[in-house]
Amino acid sequence: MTVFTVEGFGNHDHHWFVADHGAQVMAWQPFGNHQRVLWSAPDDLWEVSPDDPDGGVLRGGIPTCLPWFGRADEPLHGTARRHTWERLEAELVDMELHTTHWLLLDGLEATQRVTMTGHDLQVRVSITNTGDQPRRVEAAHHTYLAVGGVDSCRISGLGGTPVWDAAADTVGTQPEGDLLIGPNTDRVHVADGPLELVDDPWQRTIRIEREGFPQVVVWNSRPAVDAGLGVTNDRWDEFVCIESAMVREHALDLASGATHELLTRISLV
Amino acid sequence: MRSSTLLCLFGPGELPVDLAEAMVDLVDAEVAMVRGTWGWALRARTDEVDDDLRKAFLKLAKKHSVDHAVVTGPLATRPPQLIVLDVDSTLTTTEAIDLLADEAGSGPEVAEATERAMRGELDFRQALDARVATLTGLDGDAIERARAHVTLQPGADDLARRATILEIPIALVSGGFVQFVQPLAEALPATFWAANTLETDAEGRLTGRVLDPIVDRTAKERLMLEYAAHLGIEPALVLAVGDGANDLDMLATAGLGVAYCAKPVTAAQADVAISFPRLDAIWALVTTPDELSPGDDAHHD
Repeated sequence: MTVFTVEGFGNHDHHWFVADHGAQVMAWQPFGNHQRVLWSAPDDLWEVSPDDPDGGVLRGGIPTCLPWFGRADEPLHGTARRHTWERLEAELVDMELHTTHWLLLDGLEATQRVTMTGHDLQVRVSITNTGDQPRRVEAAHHTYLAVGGVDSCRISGLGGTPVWDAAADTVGTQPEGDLLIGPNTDRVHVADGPLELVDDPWQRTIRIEREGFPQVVVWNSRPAVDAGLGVTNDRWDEFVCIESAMVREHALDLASGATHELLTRISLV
Repeated sequence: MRSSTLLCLFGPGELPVDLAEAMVDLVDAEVAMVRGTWGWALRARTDEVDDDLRKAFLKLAKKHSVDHAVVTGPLATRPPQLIVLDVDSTLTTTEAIDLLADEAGSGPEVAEATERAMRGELDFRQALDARVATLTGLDGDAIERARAHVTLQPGADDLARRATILEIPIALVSGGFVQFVQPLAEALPATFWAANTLETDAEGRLTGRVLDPIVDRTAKERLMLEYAAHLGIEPALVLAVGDGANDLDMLATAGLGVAYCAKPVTAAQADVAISFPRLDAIWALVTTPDELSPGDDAHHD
């Protein structure tokens, strides 16, 4: 693993690391397992150049998408990940890492707190409407999970959930049993329970728990389907995105002055 | 019918002006003002707390920058029958491993062991072993010097004094070391205690090894349940206090889990968070026997 070349906070060699840009969690490693949990491409760190007029985008880790997710507004996945957040707190003591980042964003105030321990990674973002009108907010933790081979992995916990297959643009119900990650996977499930990503090649299971996020997006980048994503296309076999989401018909109507809190927790089973 | 939920605002120093009035307006119930060694508390009892009241109560606490608690279950109406405390950075302000590493001059090696664990190269047990291995050869005098640097948390004495008066037993569960925890347990006094044992040789020098079984996150919860079972009480009657991620299982299982000067994410998972350094502030949350109105049966089990 390479040390990240962006400003942020982490341990000495960046196996645990939170970038200030986007308050984006870039790396975390549980004790006793040396295969990385979050996928990223440190040798090709920027998905969108920092010189882009909309701001740069870091590739991999856990981008926080806010205040919108889809393509209805531009740029894709919102502007929060394109800003450098203010780092209010950063501490690494007694084998725990804690950071707090803060961003003011066009009538919204966002605070993202990250805790890393040897057991788990928790990312908690709270969003406050500082404007005097209610507003509609979408949000996601767009988690890139590293795998030993995406065709050999399966996801449990989604059986029986309502799903919009965005790739085929069809609506249906997920059959019982595990979800396999096919060549054109872009799905939005309505599900609030815990999920597990079973990775046979690396012989491990990653558990994903959420609070406040009513949906899950499952996405994998395949060059034949979603071309133009560069390194993300080239390395499609190395990751799957299991994203905590609050989007589309489940977007939040946030009252003036109100705060909403969202949590993603990642651990190994 | 008795009221089932305790709403509490509390803090150090002086009660903020107008706060009592604001709480009366909000909760529509009698609000009691309590002064204690830690500072002050405003407490009210009510039958039902819906989401709206919960949110408004949290907002009031945030507006005045004071701590708050919504206590439900048995501990809303009766005293705890066991108090379980984490030790390093909870009962004490110090961390035992750091004090010993200072004596051994092994701070950098301890940090390196932590780095290796964060690379995933070591599991918890191996990380503990690697850190303790850096202490090899420390003699009894050095351990004694390290122990002399242990500092009690502000309010720790007041916590213990009141627990003795109320006859509530205290237990210490520590991922730290027997050499530090045993003297603390005797001084408090604590009825139960557990910590990791640093192995010593015939001359009393540390061998750099930790003896089984070790006290980790799961052991803390298990020990708490064992102590409760020994006393013949339900876990719902236990009040547990800790500051770190390895206290979370114990805090979740206890009737009232209190995060003490903890990081936000840890604090968010506990029932209550105390944000200021007064360990005796737990008494702001505890129903004491003298509060129980005549006719209340405090021992209805």
